[in-house]
Amino acid sequence: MKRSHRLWLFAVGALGMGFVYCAGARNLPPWGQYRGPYGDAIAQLAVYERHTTDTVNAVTYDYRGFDTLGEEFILFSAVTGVMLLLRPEKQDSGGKRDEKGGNPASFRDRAALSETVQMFTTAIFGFAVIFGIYMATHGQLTPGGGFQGGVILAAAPMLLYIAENTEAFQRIVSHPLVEFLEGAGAAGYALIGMAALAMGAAFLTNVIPLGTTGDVFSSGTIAAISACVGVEVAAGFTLIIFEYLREILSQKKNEEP
Amino acid sequence: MPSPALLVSVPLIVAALLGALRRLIPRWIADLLAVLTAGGNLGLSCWWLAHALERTEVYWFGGWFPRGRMALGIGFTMDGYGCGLAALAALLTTLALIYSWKHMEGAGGHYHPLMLVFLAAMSGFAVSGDLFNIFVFFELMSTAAFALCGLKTREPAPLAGAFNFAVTNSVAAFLMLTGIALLYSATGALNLAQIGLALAGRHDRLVLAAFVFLTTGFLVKAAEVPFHFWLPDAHAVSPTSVCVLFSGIMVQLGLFGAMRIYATVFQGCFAGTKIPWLFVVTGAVTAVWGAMMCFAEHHLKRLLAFSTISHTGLMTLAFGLWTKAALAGLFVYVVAHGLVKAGLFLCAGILLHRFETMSEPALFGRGRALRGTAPLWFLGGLGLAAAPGFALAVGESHVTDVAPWAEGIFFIAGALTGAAVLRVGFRVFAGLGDAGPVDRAARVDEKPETTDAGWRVNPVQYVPAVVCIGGCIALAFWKGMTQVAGSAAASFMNFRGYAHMVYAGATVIPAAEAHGWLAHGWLAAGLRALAAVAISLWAVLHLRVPRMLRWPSHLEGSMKPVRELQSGHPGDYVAWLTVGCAVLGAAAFWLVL
Repeated sequence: MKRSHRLWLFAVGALGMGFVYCAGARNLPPWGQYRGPYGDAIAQLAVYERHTTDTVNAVTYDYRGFDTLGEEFILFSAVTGVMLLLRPEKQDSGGKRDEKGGNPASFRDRAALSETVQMFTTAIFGFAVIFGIYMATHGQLTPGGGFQGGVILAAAPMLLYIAENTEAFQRIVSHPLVEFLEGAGAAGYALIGMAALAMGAAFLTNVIPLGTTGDVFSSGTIAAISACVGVEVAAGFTLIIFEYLREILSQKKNEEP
Repeated sequence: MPSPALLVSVPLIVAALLGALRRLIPRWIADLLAVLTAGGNLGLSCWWLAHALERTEVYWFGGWFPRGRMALGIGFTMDGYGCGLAALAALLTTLALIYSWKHMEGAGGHYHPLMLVFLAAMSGFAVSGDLFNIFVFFELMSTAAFALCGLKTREPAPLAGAFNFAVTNSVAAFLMLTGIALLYSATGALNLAQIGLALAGRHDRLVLAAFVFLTTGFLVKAAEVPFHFWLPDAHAVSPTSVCVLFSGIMVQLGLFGAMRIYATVFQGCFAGTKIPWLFVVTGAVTAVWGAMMCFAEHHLKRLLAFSTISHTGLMTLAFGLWTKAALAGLFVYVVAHGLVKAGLFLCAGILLHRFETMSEPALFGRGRALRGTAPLWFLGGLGLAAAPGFALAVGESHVTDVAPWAEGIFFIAGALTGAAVLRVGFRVFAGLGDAGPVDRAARVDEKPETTDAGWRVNPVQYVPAVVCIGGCIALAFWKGMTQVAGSAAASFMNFRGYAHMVYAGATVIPAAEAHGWLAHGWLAAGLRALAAVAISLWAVLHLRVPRMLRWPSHLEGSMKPVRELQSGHPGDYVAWLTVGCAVLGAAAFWLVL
C-alpha cells in the first residue's frame, strides 16, 4: 500500500475510533466525582488488616498480588526475549551473520570523559545502591517498593559505565550470577505464594506475622515480595542494558574496519 | 482439592528456575521438567473440568473474599469452558514440547522458560474472573509469544514477522486497557461479576465504547478480518512447536476473551439487542475470506495459518448465535480444531525438517518417501473439512442445528481449507499433476529449527501428530464429549449462576444430556468432505480439465490484488485495525442507540 493511502486509511479509522471514544467519555462521571468505592475501602482496611502505611503497595503486593505476579513475569519473559533475540550468533550453526556476533573485546572504545563527570558519577554510585535498597525494602511504609527500588539499583552499574570504569561494569553485568538472580527473584515471588498453599491457605495469602505498623519488618509477605521483586527488576534491567550495549558495540565494531 | 493456583504458579516457578540455571541444567533435564510441568497442568485442568461439570467454584487469591458486593482481590472462576480451554492449552503445550525434544539447540536455554510462561499465561487467561487479571495474562501471553515467534533470529524474516505481531497486538492491548479504564470509571470494579451487576442492564454510549474497545482488543488476538494480518506473518516464521500453540489455542483464547466478557459484563446490557449479530457477520466474513486466502496460498505454514483464520471465523459465528447448542458445538469445535491443526503443523514441521523448505512447488513429489507423514496429512485435511468421523463435524452439526443457514458458510470454509490441505497432500506426497503456481510468499525460505535437519525423522516426532489426529477422531466417537460441552455451555451462558459462584463460592450445575451426532450432520459432513476431495483433485489435475472449467486453479493463482493487502508493513496492519475498530463501533452504535 502506498504511504498516502495508508495515511488516509488510518485517518478515517482513527477519526471513527476517536468518535467512539469521545461519545463514550461524555457519559463518564463528572470530573472529580470519584465513584470507586474500592479505593476508600482499601484506604480504611490496609493499615488495620496488613499493618502497612503505603496502601498502594498493599494493593499491588497483597490484595491484588496475583496481578503483580503476572506483571513480574511479563518483565521476566521480556528480558528472556531480549536475551533470546539479541543472543550472540555463535550459538547458531551456519548462520549468515556469524562473523558479526560474539562478545566485543571490551566496552572501552570511547573518548575519555571529563574528570568532573567521572568523579561525580563515582560519588553517587554508592548513593544509588543504598537508595535502591532503601526503596525496595521500605515499600510497605512509604511510596516506593520493589519495582522502583530495582530500577534505581539497575542504574548503579550504568553509572559505572558512564564513569568509564568499564572493566568493573562488564564484570558486574556479564556475570552469570545476574541471570541467576533474575530468575531467582521471579521464582521467589511465586514461592512465597506457594508457602501459603503449603500452610493450607489460599495462594499468596499473607502468612508471615504482620509485625508493628510503621516498622521495617512489618506487613508480612508485602515486604518479602517487595524485596524479591527488587532483586528481579534490578537484575532484569541490568541484563537488558547489557544486551543492548553489547549489540550496539558489536555493530560499531563491525562498521569500523 | 488441588488448588487452581497451581495451574499458573507451577509453570511460572519452573520457568524461572530453568531460566536462572540455564547454563547449568543439561538439555534433557530441561526437556523432561518442561514436559512434566505441562503434563501436570493437563492433569490438573482435567480434574477441574470434571469437577466443573457438577459444581463451578471460585478461588480467591490471598483469601480475599468479597466484602458485600465488593471483590477485594482476584478470583479464578473454575467453570467448564475455562477449564476445558486450559486443558487444551496444556495438552498442546505437552505435545509441542515432546515434538521439540532435543531441538532448538540454538535458543540457548531460553526456549523452555518461554514456553512454560506461555502455558501459565494461557491457563490463567482461561479461568480468570477478573478483567484486569485477564489483561495481565493477555500481555504475559503476548510477551512470551513475541519472543518465541522470533526464535530463529539468524534469518531476517522472523524478526519482521515477530515485529508485526508485536505492533498489532500491542495496539490491541492499548485498546483493551482503554475499555477497562472506561468500565472501571463507570463501576469502580474489576471483577467481571461485579461489573456485570453494577452495570445492571445499562447500555449507553459509555458501555458501548467500552464494549467496542475491549472486543476489538480480543478480536485482534482472534485474528478476525480485518484484524488478522499479523497472523500469517507470525506463523510463517515461528518454529513448528510454537505454531502449534498459536493456531491451536492462542487465537481461540482471544475469541474466548471476547466471549467471557460478553457473557459476564455485557450480556445483561445487550439482552434483546442485535449486538451478537456483529460477531455472526464478522465471523462469516472471516471464514470465507480466510478460506479463499488459504486456497490461494503455497507456503505450507501460511496456508495453515489462513485456515486457522477461516475456522476461527466459524467459531466467532457460532459464538454470535448465542444459544446453548451453538456454544456447546463451539466447545467441541475448538477442541477438535486445535487437535487437527496441531497435527497438521506437526506434519509440516516434519516436512521442514526433512526437506528444509515450506514451499509447495519446491516440495512437489518429494514427500513420497515419507510414508508415515502422508496418511496423517490426508486425515488432517479431511478433518479440516469436518468430514464424518472427525469431532469437528460433531461440533459443526450442533451449531448448524440452531442456524441451518450457517451450513453454507461452514461448507465454503470447510471445503476450501480442506481442499487446500488435500491439494498439498496430492502434490507433495503423491506427486500428482504439476508443481502448481509459484507465489512470492512461497519463495521465502525457512531454515528448520532442527540441527540434524535433512536426516531421518526421529520417531518421537511422529508421536504428537498421531495423538492429535487420532484424538480428534476418537473424540467424535466419545458420547461424553457432547455432554461435557453441553454442561460447559449452559453454565457459561448463565450469568446468574456465574455471579452466584463468585459471591457464594460455588454453583451446582445441572447435568447435561449427551447428544452425540446429530443426524443432519452426517449428510453435510459427507458432502463437505466430497467437495474438498473433488476441489483438490480438480486443482491438482487442472491441465486435464478444459480451460473453461479450471475454476479452482483460477482461485489458486489469481487472488493477487487481495493478497497485496498482506503487505508485511505493520503500518498497513494498524491502519486496517483502526478502520475495523471504527466500523465495529459504528455498527454497535447503530444497533443499540
